Amino acid sequence: MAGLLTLIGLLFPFILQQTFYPFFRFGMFAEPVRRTIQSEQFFLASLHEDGKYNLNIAEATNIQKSNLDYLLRNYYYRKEADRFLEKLSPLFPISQLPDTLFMLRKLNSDTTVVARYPKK
Amino acid sequence: MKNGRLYGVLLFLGCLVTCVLLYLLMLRPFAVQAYQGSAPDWFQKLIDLAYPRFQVERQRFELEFFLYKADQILIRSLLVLGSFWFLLRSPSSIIVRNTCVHSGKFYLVLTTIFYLGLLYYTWDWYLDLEQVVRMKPFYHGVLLFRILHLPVLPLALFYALHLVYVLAIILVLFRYKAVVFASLTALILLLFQGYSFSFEKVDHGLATLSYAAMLMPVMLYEIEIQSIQNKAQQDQLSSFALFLIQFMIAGVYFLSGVEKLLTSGFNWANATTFRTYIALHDQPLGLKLAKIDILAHLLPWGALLFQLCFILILFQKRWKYMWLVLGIFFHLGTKLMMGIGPYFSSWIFVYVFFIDWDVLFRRGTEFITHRHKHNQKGA
Repeated sequence: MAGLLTLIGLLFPFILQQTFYPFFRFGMFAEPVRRTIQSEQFFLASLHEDGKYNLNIAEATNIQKSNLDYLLRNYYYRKEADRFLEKLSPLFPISQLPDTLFMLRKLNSDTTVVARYPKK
Repeated sequence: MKNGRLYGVLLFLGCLVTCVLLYLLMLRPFAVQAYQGSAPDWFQKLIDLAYPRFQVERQRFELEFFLYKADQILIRSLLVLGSFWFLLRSPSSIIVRNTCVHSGKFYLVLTTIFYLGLLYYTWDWYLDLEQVVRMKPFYHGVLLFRILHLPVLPLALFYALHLVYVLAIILVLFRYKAVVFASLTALILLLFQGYSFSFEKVDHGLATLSYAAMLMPVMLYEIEIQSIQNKAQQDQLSSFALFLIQFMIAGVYFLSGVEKLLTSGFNWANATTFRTYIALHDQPLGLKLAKIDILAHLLPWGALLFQLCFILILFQKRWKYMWLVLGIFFHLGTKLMMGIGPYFSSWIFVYVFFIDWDVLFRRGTEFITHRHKHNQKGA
């Protein structure tokens, strides 16, 4: 039984190319590198009552930057950037509540605002 | 007998042909429709369930990427079926041949080291659980959690579970109902890891460690049963679960290598790909070494060959320490050149399952005895 589960655990994610937790697919760094996609960067910024901008949203919300960056990218590609900002806004401490939250996308030297919350 | 085997082969080939036809005529067209957003509802739901990143990757990659992925499912299934056909014709002989036999002391030391290591790698998980609670609005449970309708638990309950987890490990270390508490440890470990993976990101850092934790209760059960049944022969305890742990670890390396070949072909190991990966990770040593032409060609080939060949550790016991040393260099190399994982990675730690603790004891005892005699002579 344990042997069968071991085989399933190794082979099932391998065949379907997906992690089915608690069984992992080990495809890290297997895919060919695409420079254009990798060089695209995303940022968050918040505008506060005093007119100051804060770019360190991970620190303000006390969420690990790596987690935040990963979610940010995924929500953007799913075309859910607005939803992301909406979910993020209550995570600020009351003393640091922003007036507006922005999601920015930087590709080469171009930086664009892709979403803002609340929408104006 | 010959006819039976022939029918078997024909049946097997018939199944393969049917699978290929089914795939080409039905499933492949569905993959195209899913990409265009016009697939039948049941297929779309199946994709959402089995391939949750599809919606993200659909925005990033062309149709060919997904058709290639779909073709890979067929190719990989055929590869696995073919391997089974040759390797698993007599499963009972595989079990007998691969059951590990060691002394009771061996299992005692291995269990102690493993659970101390587990404690070392996970004692501060309460900090991650705080993150889980903080990020609640973004929670999207892993498939298993979605099936079980597991919500984010209150922080106090997470803390209590963490305390139970640590206590369970301590009880295993003191051999108190080891099977029960090893199972509880594995269960809570999986629960905590599941929560931290419920934010769309999966981390392989503790993968081999958690596989081992899942199989450890089976090993402890095997040993406990034999100890009760056969008290006189404590130096001849057998465990198939120990082989399974070793098989899992070696299999993970092997599949990582095969993944690279199936996904990118031999191009994966060329200097350009290597330099791009190094540039993305932006580590000073990596950037320096990637500039040296010969290393940029040799290192990726070395890594690929290491991953594909590590599985030999299961068959050629004489060379196993060489594989372990290469493994340590491999993980330290990825840390130094790409900044991935800690220096003392849990992937290195699980090599404890390959060490022959019995031989180490014997050599240690011999060494101490020899020193003692030498000292006496000197006196």
